[in-house]
Amino acid sequence: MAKLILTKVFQAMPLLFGLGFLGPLFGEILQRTGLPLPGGIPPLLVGMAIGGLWGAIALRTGRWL
Amino acid sequence: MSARLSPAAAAASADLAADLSALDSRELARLEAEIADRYMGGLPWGSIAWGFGNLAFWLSLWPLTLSGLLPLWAAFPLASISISLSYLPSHEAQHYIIARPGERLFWLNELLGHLSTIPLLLPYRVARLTHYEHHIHTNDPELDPDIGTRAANGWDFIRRSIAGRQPGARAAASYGATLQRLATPEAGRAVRDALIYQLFFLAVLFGMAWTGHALEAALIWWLPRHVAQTYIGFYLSWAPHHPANEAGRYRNTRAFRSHLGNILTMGMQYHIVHHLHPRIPLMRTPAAYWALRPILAARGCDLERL
Repeated sequence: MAKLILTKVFQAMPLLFGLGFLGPLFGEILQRTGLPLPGGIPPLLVGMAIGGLWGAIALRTGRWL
Repeated sequence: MSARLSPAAAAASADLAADLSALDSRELARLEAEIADRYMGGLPWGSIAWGFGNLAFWLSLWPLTLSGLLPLWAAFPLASISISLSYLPSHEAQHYIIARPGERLFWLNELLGHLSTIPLLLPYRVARLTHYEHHIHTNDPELDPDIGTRAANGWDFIRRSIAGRQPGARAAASYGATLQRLATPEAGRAVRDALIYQLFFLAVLFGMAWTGHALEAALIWWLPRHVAQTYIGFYLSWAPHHPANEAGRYRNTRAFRSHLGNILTMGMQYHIVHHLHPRIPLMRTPAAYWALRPILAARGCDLERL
């Protein structure tokens, strides 16, 4: 059972990594650069959108780059 | 070295500039072993201090950066250098150079092996088992776990190295495939270690990211580890084995000259000595190389301008 769960987790890792790490990372970068965001969208939200989308693409294609 | 040297071999040993063509293959092997033997033994304190000191240095980057004492822009290159330096002390331990099983300081060998590669996220058991397979099957397209570093040139290596770290890449799974093929209890423990390391790494990255320290995690561990993987792969794997298309004791590894010199290539210009005599400590391989060079030349080794 544990093996099955871990297999599923690692199979979904690009998406999890995009949401769990890259999203907050991009959010922090946006915040530090002070880039004006339309409509006052929180930087973390934009970061999560970029990280999540990139992770989903990496999950589907098997490539980050 | 217990075998006695023939008079010709003894003369050649005394004067390495001597013509070795008079020696047959067996005498050359004896002479080679006799010379190599001189460079083995003793405790490699330099590598021990390097391994523990480097780990302490990398660990210190976290509090120094988080407390604001060290700027992030400085932490990134320092972490990249530190993680790049983290592999070789473990490599000494993988070959039991500090101490062999059953010897008094074997615990130190194992401690160094386990601790020094933590920043690189390479479990000691994984490193040792796959590295032994690399030695046994060097350049074998199916069995060498490091064959994924084969490339046409340095730039091609960098491109392949990055491509090999993508989620769906075959090269990314080569160590796991090797451990599966070995299917021993030790290989099973190595897989378990790798799993624990990965989960710990992700927990640290995710935890730091969600507590407002994503940049610190990215610039002290995540990105420097990628830099280190490329650097280590280039000098420890691609450069000494290039073009990596020959098998055989004297042809599967080469000596090479780098513009960066001995220290910045981490001693790998002389990697051929390591493949021939893995228990010679890293810091003695240059001297051993120059002592052995006439024999290596006589054996037809690729010594490319070195």
